Amino acid sequence: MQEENIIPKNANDKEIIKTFHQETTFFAWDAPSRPWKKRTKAYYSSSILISFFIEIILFLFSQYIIMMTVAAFIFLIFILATVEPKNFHYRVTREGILIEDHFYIWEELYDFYIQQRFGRDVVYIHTRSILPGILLLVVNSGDLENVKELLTRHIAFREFIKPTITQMIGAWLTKLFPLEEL
Amino acid sequence: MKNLTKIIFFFLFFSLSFIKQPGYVFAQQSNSSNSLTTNDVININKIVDGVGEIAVCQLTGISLITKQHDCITPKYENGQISYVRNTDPNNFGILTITTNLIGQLYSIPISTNDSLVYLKENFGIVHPAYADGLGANNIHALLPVWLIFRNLCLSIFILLLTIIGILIMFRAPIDQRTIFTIEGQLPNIIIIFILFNFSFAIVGLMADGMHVANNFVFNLLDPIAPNPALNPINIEGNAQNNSNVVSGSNTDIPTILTGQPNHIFNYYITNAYIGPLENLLGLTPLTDSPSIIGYNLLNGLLPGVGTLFGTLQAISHGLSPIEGLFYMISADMAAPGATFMGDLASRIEVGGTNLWAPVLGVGASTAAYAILVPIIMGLISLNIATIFQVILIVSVFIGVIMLLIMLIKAFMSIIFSTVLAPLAIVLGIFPGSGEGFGHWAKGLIADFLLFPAVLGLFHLGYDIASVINTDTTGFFTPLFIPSSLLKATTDHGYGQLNFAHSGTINGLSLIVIYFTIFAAASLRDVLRKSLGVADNPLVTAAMGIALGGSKQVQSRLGLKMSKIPELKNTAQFKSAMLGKIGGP
Repeated sequence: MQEENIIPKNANDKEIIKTFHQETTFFAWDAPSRPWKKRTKAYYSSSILISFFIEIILFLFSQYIIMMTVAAFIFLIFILATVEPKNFHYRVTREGILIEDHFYIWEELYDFYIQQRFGRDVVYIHTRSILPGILLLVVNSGDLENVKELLTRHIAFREFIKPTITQMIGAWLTKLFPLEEL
Repeated sequence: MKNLTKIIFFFLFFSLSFIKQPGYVFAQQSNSSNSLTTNDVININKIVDGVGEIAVCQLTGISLITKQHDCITPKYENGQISYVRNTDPNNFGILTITTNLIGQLYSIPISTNDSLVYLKENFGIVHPAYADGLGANNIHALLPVWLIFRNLCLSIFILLLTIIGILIMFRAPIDQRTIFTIEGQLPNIIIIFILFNFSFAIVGLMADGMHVANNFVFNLLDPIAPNPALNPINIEGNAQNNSNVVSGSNTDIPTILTGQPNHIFNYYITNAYIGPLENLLGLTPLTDSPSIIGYNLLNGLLPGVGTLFGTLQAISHGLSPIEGLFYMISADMAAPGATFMGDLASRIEVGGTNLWAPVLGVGASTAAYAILVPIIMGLISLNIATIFQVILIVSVFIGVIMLLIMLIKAFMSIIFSTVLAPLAIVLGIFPGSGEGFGHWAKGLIADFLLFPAVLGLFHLGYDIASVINTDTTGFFTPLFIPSSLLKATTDHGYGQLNFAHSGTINGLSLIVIYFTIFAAASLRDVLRKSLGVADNPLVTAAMGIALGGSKQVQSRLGLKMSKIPELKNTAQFKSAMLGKIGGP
């Protein structure tokens, strides 16, 4: 009830709204939009070699459309590996979570879990709707406990997420073909 | 479904209730011009018998009138109708066609062979020219349909991946959520990409596994009560004797993989019905070795019903309902009950006045069965054979239809899941969608498991029934089942019910068969529930519309005839319908 009292009477006043947002923000930080790490030359050469091998097999079986798909995959993988992500502004507020220019209210979010990727802590938040399905919050080192504590006030925290069949096969494949060590 | 059942029931009831009326003969010729003459009654009986004959022929494919039990069927040729004799009852009659359909559902048009042939045909730089599409005549028709959806998915993949890559490369203002999803799911996307490209081969593998499971189940259970006619490994689709199968020595892998048990349910169910129908009517058995199930299906039940009437008879003679109940359980009372029913039926069939019905009716009216007994007696006075026929035919028929609908759902679910596999698997990219490879594969496994499970259940029922029937030392008897229901006697004679005696038929086997049909019809729900898979919404919706089409149309048009009395006139209704759907 106390929080309701701070709602400005003149809602059109931009300054007041700005102040209001500042007051209701619990935690804010800047971090890359996605976990990223610089790849070695071996990564690129291994990727090209494997994809070339796959393309030859596909060519022999006349699967031209799949060849194009493999080429598109390699293209995107290279782009994601070479283009460094820009920094995002993340904010956890009383009403929800702001990720750069998209705001998600708590009612739209379901639960969250934490995993490490490329040495960074990443908070994965499931949305109630199929799209986008999942949100990624890249958290700076030292901020994780704070963010976790704020999120658990509104949505459930899952200690363990059972990987799906595709995730398991994906992990196995990554382990089988470590592109940077081939 | 409820309405369909009602329609089927009433159709059968009213048509079959006129099957046999030999006892209804007027002995005297009336002097009054308004009264029926003997000739009138004979003519009416002929018509009634004709209607019954047609109804039974349409349902079972067996004639009650012709010597060889061949049905006379209309043949349309050059705009004229002629009548021909149908000599193959296995290819005629609703029940036969239904069971044949069930058997045909076991031939799922998917195989690993399709994928292998497709790859083989496309291997190499230079391909031989073919006039017909894929060029592989032995590829099932589903593969080209699947290829359309696969290529559609691949095209979407190519477009999206390229566009997103270019946008990232030029640091264009792209929705960061898209990059999140793609980047975070990249390893999964690659796996999904591989899986949906192999989805047809995966389904083919499952289908082959199903054929192996079918044959395994069959060969596992067959030695208990071998029946070569039920051989599912005959690839020609003919139920011929195969000594290799019976002896269990058939291990020819290609034969097993291509086994198509189209005909098996025809033998299980049609024989299960045809046998007892012939037996009930005292006809010569259609086949040399009709199914044991068939002989028991009706004959096992009738003495049980006789027991009930025997009990009613006891009540009518002044016993209390409780005493009557004890008599029903008692073997001593049950046997005379069965015999009594035989006598009663004979009296009706001979054509004399039925004196028993009023006697029983009056007696029972003083007991607790005051309402029940007159109704039953009223039915008896019509034609007791017809009543039992109708009840049993309808119950078996409903069970078979339920089974057919369930297997059609499974079959269609497999077909749709196969051709739409690329789309279904790609949905797994979106976390939390509940879709994806796992969900898709589990649904297919549940549907593929259903076929050997139904086959196994039927064969198990057949085995148990056979064991019960061949057991001369006595079989475990469930509590409170009257002994007459378990061991009763039958008699043959044209136009007579078989309550009287010769040979021992075990009614418990009948219970097993009834259980088998109805348990099999609910197997799909059990399997899907245990695997935690929801039904395919597309198939469910399609089946719902197919079974209740008119209702759907009515509700979609916002019309209901009963609520619009002024529209009962056809012309008014037509114009109203056209107005609703915007027609001319």
